[in-house]
Amino acid sequence: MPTGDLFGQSTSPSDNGVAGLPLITNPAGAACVFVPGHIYKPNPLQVERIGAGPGALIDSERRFLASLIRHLGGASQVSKEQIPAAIKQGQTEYYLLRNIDRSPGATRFRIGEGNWFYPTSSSG
Amino acid sequence: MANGGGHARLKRSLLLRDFLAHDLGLRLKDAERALEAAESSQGVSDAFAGGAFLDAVAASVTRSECKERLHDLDDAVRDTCRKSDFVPRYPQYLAILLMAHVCNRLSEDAECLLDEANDYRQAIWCGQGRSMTEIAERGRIPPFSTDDLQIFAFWMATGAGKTHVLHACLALLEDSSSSGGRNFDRIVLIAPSESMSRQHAQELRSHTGNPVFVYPDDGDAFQIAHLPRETILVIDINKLREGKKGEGFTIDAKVFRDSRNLVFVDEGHKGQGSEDSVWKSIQSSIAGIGHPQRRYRGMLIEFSATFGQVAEADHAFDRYAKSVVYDYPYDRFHADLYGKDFDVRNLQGAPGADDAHEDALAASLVAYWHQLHSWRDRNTQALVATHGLEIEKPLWVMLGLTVLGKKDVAEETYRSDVIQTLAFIAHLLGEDGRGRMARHLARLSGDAGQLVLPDSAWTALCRAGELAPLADTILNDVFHWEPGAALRLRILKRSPGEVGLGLSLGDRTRYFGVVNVGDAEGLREKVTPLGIVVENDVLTPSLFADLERKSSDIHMLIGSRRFSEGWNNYRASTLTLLRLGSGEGPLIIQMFGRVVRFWGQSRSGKRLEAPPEALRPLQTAYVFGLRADYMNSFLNTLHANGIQDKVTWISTQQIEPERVARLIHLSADEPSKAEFTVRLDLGTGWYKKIGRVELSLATGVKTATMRDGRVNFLAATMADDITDKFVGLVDFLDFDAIYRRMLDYRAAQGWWNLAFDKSQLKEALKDGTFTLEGDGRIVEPLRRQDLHRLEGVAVTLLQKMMRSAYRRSEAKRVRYRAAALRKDNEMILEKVFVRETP
Repeated sequence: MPTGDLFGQSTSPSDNGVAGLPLITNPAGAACVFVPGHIYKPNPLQVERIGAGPGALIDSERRFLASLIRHLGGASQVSKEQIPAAIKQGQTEYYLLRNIDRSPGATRFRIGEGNWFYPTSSSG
Repeated sequence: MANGGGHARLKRSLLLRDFLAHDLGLRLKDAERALEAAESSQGVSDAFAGGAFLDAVAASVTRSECKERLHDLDDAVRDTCRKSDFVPRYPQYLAILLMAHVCNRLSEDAECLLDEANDYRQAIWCGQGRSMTEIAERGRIPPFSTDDLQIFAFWMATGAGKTHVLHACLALLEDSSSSGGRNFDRIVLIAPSESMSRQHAQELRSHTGNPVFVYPDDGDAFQIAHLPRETILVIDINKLREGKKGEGFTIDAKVFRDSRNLVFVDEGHKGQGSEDSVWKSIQSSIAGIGHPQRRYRGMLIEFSATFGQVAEADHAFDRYAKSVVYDYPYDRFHADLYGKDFDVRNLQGAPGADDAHEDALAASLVAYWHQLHSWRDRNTQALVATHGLEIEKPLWVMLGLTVLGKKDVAEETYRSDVIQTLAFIAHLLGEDGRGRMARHLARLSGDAGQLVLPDSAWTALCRAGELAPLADTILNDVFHWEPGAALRLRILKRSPGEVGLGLSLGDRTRYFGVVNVGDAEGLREKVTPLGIVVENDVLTPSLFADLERKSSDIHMLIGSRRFSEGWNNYRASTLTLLRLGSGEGPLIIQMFGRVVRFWGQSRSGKRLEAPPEALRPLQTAYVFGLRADYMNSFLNTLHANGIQDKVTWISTQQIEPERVARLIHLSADEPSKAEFTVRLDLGTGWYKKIGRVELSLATGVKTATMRDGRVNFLAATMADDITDKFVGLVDFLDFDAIYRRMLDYRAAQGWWNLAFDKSQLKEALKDGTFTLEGDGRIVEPLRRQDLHRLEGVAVTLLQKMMRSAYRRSEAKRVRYRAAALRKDNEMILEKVFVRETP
């Protein structure tokens, strides 16, 4: 299993950062990568020529997410049957949700003089 | 992308075409590939005459019982092509073959055809093996009705020979067995304009044995009623009205009622707008579409290169999805090596930027001159002969939306693009014209030129050496310029709507261009204040017609839509599109069709796949646009068509709602305006506390080039850092006006908790804690209006700085909190899609 920091700097570019994560197929037989701990499945990740959406991730986001899941220990503790299931660390449960909305209800920050920043917002 | 969408959507939704192919057991894509291979290896004549076309189609038929039918259809195609006196290229062959098939089925049992077409739509086209997206998209097209089977269409690129297909359809349908067992009472060809009526009549007379009657050239409305049944009546759409009142040439469409008419419509895409929808109604009325009495129901057959562009609208989309018998639009036409390659440069200058307009024109001029110079070169002509090519003398065409400006806008802006273009030419041919041309060349031979000029033109310019002599050469080659000559615009009295562009030396005026304009006298009023002399010319015949002559000295055609339809000329080589809106899509595609047409090898229409470098400029269409965004949208659709992504929607499986409700995430609340104030009027240097503001006034250049069968896109900007020069001009700006505009800005933002004063605005700009980039000419004011433009730049910079300061204060007071995630959060999706790209 590749190792690296949260931003996937040391992740091999050839595996798109998703090696070792549970891989299953959709009913049509196309491959999808499921993210353990996501609130719904399938999560709109992108693998090679397969696009998904809305809210498909770009490569750096995908690498970050894969590294985050490993960091939290999600890659080893969750099998595909349990998805969607929380990633547990002690008493804390983590879930992942794609920030695809740019409304005041979405996760956002106001940093310095910039406009609202919506982390990983698909339209941002 | 709104514009490209119609083209791509219609291409994958041609229900009638797919049904006809299915009915014949024909794998259409395989048939097209086999036909193209036969045509390439044997040539058109041999492949058709020797039966290779039939063999290619037969090999693509999946059901053996269809093969006999296919032989009968091949006989029908041969018969109609013999009567129409032409040898079909493979797309024409397939188009006529499918039309012959639908005619046969209609005459055998129209009701059965209707049922089978709808069964096909329901069971196969929308059903088995389709994704949810396809089913949803295709299912939107309503089932066929009886009326639908009276309407047929051919979607064919300009230059793909739709006129021949029209003649072949005529020959096919004259046979009563192909037209429902009874001849039509009338044959009507509706053209888009009077000139196109004449052009059609000329071609019909040379290709068919039928008498041809052109209204109103050949007689009045009374005579139409007494024309023999086999006569082809050619009339332009503007001569037809519903409920005609008063005198004039228009005819009430009711005179065609109560007869069974065969109606052909050239440029059938016209008439889909709200105003023009009357045209479609008239056409349907004449063809008896849905006539309550079956015996008066005729047939309507439309032709156009741009059905895809009008299919943005749902009503047009449905109509053509159910009526296109065969499609051979531009992307396939080009992929088969027909027509020229192209090189498109689209400049995105800031609104009102004269510099970008001048850049586009100067680049067009140099590119055109490069083509003209190449064409005249003896070595190049030898290569042309060696490869068996036929290439016409290059022509520079400028297409503007209007020829005269609108009267309800300010003086500075209502000069239309065409008038601005005439001003550009006048400057080049006036005092210091040679110097101005040399300055353009100096700029274009640098980095800016590499962006805006086609590669071969830029290389030629860089290799030219001294620019001053080259400026003289270009002016002489393109405009027939010589020392002492003066520009003249002459209204051609013998050819209404034409204004000649010429240079006068002594008592002789030599024309180099022609402007097509509806209101020649109006043009005189507009250009006279620019110092351009306008005279009358009562002797010279049409210069537009002169373009056809091999020895024509006319190098430039300026105007609007008059020549966009059916203009049968192969000279256009450089096209300059002047600020055409997205609504002008069909017009641009029409014009694009004119500029890429090519005689090619032995007049086959085909270009060389791998031409010698010297021939590239002559088999490439150069297209320059100033904010002609439609062109890029159109090009984006090319070659992507036919390669459709497979999209599948999948319902998501979510964790239980009660667990969602327990989840917390970060939420942010903005402070109200009452909670803080932003004081830019206290102390000094508020602008030093914010980050460095950047403003770009760069001209963007989008490039699309076609080479080796692929469209390549590039985007770049032309800009320098002009911050210091701008700061040096701040003292000359009117800060009373700037202050007023900033007060307006504050009011528009609702920032009543922000205070600032005039002196601080000036200080902010003089301090230069910003970066401004753009064309160096912006900071070289020559006129008062140049300073006005700089004041606009100052306001934009100050707005950005003020916004930064306001947000900085606001951000300090944003409150973050842990909030519950709700089940109805839009981020919890109920469906996601998976897309596979082949």
